[in-house]
Amino acid sequence: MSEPSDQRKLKKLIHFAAAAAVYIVFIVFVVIRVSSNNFSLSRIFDYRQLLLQGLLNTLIISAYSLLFGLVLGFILYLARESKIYFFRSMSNIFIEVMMGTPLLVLVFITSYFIGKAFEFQNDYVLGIIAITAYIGPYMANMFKGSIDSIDTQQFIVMDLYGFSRYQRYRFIILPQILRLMLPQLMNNFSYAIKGSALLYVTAVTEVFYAVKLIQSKTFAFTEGYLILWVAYLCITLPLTLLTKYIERRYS
Amino acid sequence: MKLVLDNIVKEYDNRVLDHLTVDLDDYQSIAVIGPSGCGKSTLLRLIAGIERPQSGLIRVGRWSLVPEQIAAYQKTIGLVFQTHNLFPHLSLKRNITLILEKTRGMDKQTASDKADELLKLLQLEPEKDKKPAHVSGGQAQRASIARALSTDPELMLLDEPTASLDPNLTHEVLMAVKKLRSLGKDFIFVTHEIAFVKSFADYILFLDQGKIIEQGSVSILDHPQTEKLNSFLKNVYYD
Repeated sequence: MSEPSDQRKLKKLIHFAAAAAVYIVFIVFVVIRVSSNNFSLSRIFDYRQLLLQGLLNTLIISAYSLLFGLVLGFILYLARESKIYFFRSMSNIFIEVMMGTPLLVLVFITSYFIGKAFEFQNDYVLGIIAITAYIGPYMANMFKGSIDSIDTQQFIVMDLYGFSRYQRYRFIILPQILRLMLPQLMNNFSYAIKGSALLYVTAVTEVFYAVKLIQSKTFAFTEGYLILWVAYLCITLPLTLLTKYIERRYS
Repeated sequence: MKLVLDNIVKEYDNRVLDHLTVDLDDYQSIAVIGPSGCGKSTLLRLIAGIERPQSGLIRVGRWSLVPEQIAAYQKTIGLVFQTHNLFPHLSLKRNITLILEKTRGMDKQTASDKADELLKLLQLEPEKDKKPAHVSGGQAQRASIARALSTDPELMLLDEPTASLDPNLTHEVLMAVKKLRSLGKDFIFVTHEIAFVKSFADYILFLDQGKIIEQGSVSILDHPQTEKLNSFLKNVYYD
């Protein structure tokens, strides 16, 4: 016998609230244990201008990285599928090396060596390049995974009617895979946002660096990290919810 | 239509077509029948130029299926598969107009008129704006026949077009194919529907284990000369 759906919903809600409460209690416990008596978020809010600027920069850096990563990923995908072994090798080497490199190392290399070699010192742009290079291979895999999921007989049909390469991607392949790729794309956006925190090592004023700066002025360390954490969740959680909503809507 | 198969050998892991040789002229509707795995679908794919034989030569009409001619030849054929193979993200009508506009250089209006005409012929007018997933299997298969016809092919190749359909839908699709005889096109088709073969084909190739066992007019179905065709016919009737 199944319960009425209202009752079931209520039960789920209570369970969810209880689970959330467990985490909140844990966080509050830690905060109380480590913070001095003068816990006060207002000290951070005095610098909200800087905080918002940092948040905005994080979003801009992540958005550019996502966009360029998408382009790079598609190029890597096409190169990997190329008939010419040189292109396949270019793509494969890049993908394997990048996937084996921590983003932090990549940020250092891009900023301190590659930027220097080309006499280009804009750490903001170099940071975007580093994140782009880092998520490009994941994007390439995303393209491969979704394009491979298209029935091979559709490719036979495209061959038979003589679709050009551009027409295949523009009219048949991309429209079909966009929906498939969306969850993965949102995931990668989330990687880019979280990854951008590492740019603080080259003093790019994204949100992490902004908070470090505020902390050094106010000594409000606990409050700073707490707000930083919430700020990241404010960006990533809605993204997750949006992805889930879109997936449900189109499934 | 002229159909010449000269010593065709096709192998994957094992030999699927074993030195097939056929020389036919002036038949309008050739049926290829045989038990599952006899190589009949492979033969159709070779005739469509989708795959190449390991050895041997194929000639269809005025074409020799050599690499230099295949692309031009394929523009003159229409192919219908076992499953409908429509592009799933496009409506039935757009499945037709996209091909006409992009690969045949037709303008929008002409392509739209042509698609409407064919969808009407196959009684799909009410469904034309639906996507393949939202119509029945029979309707989707008829739409793919409409799509195959849209480029005005000289030759239609049908590879078990009703294999994935239940008996009602099978009947529906076969009736639609019968109507096409009046269009004056040539047909080569693979099927298990013997009753349909009898009423539609004017030449039959019976394959078993990659070889042609019997061939001839429809009368070979009533008077099989070989034990293999005899037992095949018994089996399909009692399927």
